[in-house]
Amino acid sequence: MMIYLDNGATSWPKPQEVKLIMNEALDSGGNPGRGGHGVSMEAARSVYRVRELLSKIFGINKPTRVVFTSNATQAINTALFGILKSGDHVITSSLEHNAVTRPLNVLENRGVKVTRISGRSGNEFSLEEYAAAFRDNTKLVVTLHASNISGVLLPVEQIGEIARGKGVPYLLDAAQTAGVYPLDLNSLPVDILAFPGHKGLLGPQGTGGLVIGDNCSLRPFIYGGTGSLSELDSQPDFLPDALESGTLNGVGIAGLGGGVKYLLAQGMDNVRKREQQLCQSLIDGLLHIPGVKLYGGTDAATKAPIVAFNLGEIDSMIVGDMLDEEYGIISRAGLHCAPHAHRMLGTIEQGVVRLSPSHFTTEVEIGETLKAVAKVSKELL
Amino acid sequence: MLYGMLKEYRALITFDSLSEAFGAEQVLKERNCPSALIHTPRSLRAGCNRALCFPLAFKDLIEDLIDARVVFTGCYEARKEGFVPLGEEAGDSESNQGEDNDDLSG
Ligand SMILES: Cc1ncc(COP(=O)(O)O)c(C=O)c1O
Repeated sequence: MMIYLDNGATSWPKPQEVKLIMNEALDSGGNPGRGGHGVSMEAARSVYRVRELLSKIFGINKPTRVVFTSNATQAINTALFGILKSGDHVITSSLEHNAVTRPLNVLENRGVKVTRISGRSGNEFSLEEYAAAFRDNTKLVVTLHASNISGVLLPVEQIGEIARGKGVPYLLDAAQTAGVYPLDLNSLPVDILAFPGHKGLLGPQGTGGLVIGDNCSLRPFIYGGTGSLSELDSQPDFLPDALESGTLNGVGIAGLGGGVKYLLAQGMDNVRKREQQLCQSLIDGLLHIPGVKLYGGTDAATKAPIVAFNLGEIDSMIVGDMLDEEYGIISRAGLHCAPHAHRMLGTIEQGVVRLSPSHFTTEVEIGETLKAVAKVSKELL
Repeated sequence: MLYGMLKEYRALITFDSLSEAFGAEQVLKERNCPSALIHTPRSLRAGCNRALCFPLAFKDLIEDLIDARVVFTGCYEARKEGFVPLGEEAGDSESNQGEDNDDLSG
């Protein structure tokens, strides 16, 4: 029996609704918006319904400002390359996932100046340093919402307010928080939000997107067929077509709609609280196991549903492998695509073992996990 | 010249994006106005090759579309002589639709 605690990478299991709706979409066929026949139109309409649903949950009153991508990484790249060009300046954090770090590295080589705001455990993003980092050519602020390693939340309200005060758009990487925390762009000072469909929103892999605020315009990252203005060689400039070249993942997007509907029926707050409770049980139990080092604090209610730990100085990969091979517990060990954040935690060599339950996880599974970690600790330390 | 549901409905809206057409479809539906997506007439070239036709009697709902922030590129009445921008009376020389004027050849 497997105990799956890697929902931070992708959520599993998916609600039954997701599978049903994807099967239906596969059975009905059609390339969304390509060709005028009924099958294509129905496929396109089904994509539109999900656009509408997402525009509602993210608080943007234009469904056409929801743009679909294959994952959060593609959404982030679309936003970064769509805004920044040589001579521009961008501000980011020191906790970023490689989905932000690597495109920024390429842009840096192309003449974009990047400022990384420093931080330390407990104060992950120095707001003083940040407020002083703006320049005349600052064109964007980009940060993640919750660290994918520790679950710690950045002060996104303040980051966004300060950016607004300077007239600079704020791109939020909500990979670990979309579908977990309410993210309403009416009240949250975020201008562009990147989300994965396959994590907290409970959709299938191959889904994600951008929510683009009214005052932002992005150059396309990928060019090609959109089903609109087909007679022209040039890319359409209207949303969502401008940023959605090529056949959409219609089946996946339909499934994402199923995931979001399920989530809304359960109540996002209920789901998160349940996950945070499970994390608190993990934290409380881990604190009693000899040699456990916890990262990201001990209050699960204040962060995304992620628990990170190590056993003494033991390589996190060894612990992760033992949990998997001997106890069937699926964690995520190692560096989690975020080397800068590991430097901040002092775990760049060791990595961490990350446990991320979902609301489908049971207390019994949490108990089994704690027993297994205790046994591994006994064996290795 | 008139085809499909346009023969019966007589009012037509064009869009740049198909997503906007779905947005319009939704607004009309919520107001119990029937509609149909048809091929955009060649003379009304718009970004999207589907246009939405609906009964002329509901033409005031254009205001609702604007309120709902639906972006459309034109709205027309289909007449024997061609597509006349909605809100423009026959023989009305003053047009507020500019570029749409030469679309009457439909
Ligand atoms: C903070 C953060 N950003 C971006 C990503 C990338 O998401 P995706 O795999 O959907 O591209 C992840 C995934 O783990 C993440 O945790």
